[in-house]
Amino acid sequence: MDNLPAISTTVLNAINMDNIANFKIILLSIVLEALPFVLISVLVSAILNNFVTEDMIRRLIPKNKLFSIVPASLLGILFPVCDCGMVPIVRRLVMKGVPLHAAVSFMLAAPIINPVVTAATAFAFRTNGDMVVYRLATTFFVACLAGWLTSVFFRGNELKANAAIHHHACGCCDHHAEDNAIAAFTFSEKLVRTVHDASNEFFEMGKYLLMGAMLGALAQIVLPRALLLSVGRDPLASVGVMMLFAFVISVCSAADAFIAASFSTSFSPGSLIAFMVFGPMIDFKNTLMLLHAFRARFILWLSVVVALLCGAAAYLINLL
Amino acid sequence: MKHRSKKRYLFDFDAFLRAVILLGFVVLLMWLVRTQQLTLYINPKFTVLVEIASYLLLPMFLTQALTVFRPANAFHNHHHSHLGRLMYIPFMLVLGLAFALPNSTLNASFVNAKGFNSQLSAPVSTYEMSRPLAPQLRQLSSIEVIDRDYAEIMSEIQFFPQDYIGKEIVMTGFVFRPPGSADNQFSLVRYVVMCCTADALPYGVLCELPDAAKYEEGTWLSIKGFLQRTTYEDRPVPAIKITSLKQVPEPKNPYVFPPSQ
Repeated sequence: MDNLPAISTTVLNAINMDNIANFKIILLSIVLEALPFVLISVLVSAILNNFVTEDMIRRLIPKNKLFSIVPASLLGILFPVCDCGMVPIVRRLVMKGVPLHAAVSFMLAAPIINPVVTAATAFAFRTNGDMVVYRLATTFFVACLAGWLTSVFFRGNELKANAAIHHHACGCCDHHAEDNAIAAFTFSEKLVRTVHDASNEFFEMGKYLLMGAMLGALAQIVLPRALLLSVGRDPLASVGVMMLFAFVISVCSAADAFIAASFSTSFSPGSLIAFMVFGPMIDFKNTLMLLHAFRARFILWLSVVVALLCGAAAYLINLL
Repeated sequence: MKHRSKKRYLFDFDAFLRAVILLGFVVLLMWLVRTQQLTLYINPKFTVLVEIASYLLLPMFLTQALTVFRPANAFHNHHHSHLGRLMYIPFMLVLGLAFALPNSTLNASFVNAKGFNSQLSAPVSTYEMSRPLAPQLRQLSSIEVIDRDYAEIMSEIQFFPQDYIGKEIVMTGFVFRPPGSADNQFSLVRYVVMCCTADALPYGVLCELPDAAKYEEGTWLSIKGFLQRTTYEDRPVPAIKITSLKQVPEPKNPYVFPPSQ
């Protein structure tokens, strides 16, 4: 690690007024960008909780694994969601009885395989149209395979024990009725409950989003990009570095293509694909949320599987 | 069954904290939108989303505020550990930073951490770039770099300098000294922002001026000059030979937001 002294001086140099101002700007910009999506997500989650019964969902989901994983991976085409707001919806779906493998495929694929992100990627890489195809294909491959592996290795829903029973933090004790009692409430009661649930979930999930945003902003300030550039052309090392970079900086899936494009002359194409596929699937800000919703063992397993699949696919692209 | 004659009300500290935080976010969002400072953080095309967010937060604030004082009769006997209230720290930290520090612009010291376009990119790209502005720019003898085309023109100069050598360039940006630049050199730079300032990338061009050293990093300049070849770190690069310049205040929109299509 001959970079270590360089890194520690960088960190020390980083503590001054200029950088605190820059930290605030980056942090607030990530928060402002993600906030609308998180709010919409907790609201959708609360609506699912109060208006949709488990029976309705059970009837919609195909019994066959293949027929649930593949459509789940493509669902983002209809519901273009950003990865910032994914976790609350996915957790709610799993609570409502959606099989874990389908939920995982949806969660991994939807932030990328959707019209908004596809258009952004095509624009960022307008000089090289293959990148769009590679990005979509790699995502589809990783999401389906990770979903299938989930179904092989995990039988249960892998939710944290407390999350499944009681997801409110407080102030809602008269709301503890079971899900199947949904019908007992009038429409306006349901509406108030929905808003209340949404605000509770906003606090539950929001704190992880904010902490992730802080870590991402910090990493942007102290991590000079020149450090990354030394490995840009190596077919394997560049892939690893770009995935780590994607994990750390936690930018939105609609924006990361532009960052990737800014590296396109100094980094291998496979590493850029790894950056654009791995980042929206697993990064700082949503890992904290995932760890809160699901068992740590499962999230660790999922992160390793997704990293290996992304890395392998990206390496193959480099060899092509 | 006997009803208690007096209804007692309990003060719910958690609901109070939540209400205050939600109100804080509503005020923050509305203030940034009203004072048009939102473009210091995100692309203006997302302004509507932030407005929607502030309207979604309002009813959430109301439901929390209404439970701050609650009748004590409810079968409510949660025991909150004080540790649980640590969860509010990230919210307060973000709100505190947002209100306490002035809204400023990413400064020149950040260019190095971000990686400057002329250092990052190899001089010749391997594939054919689509160049929508090139035919139009080639016709001109003097190119005025406007916000909308800023990123496009900077890439053109960076990648195809031979097409623009000798042309007059008129542009505005802030001074940045890339490491290894000579005494008579600095770069004129602006941040290009796609979604939010977290993805800001510095774009700019090297400039040459005999008394370049007297301009501090971060100073905004409007310049006029001719594009020519020079050397930077022993390789040939395009640079603007400045013929006239004017110090200007930071523009109202310091960042450049490229059109999405």
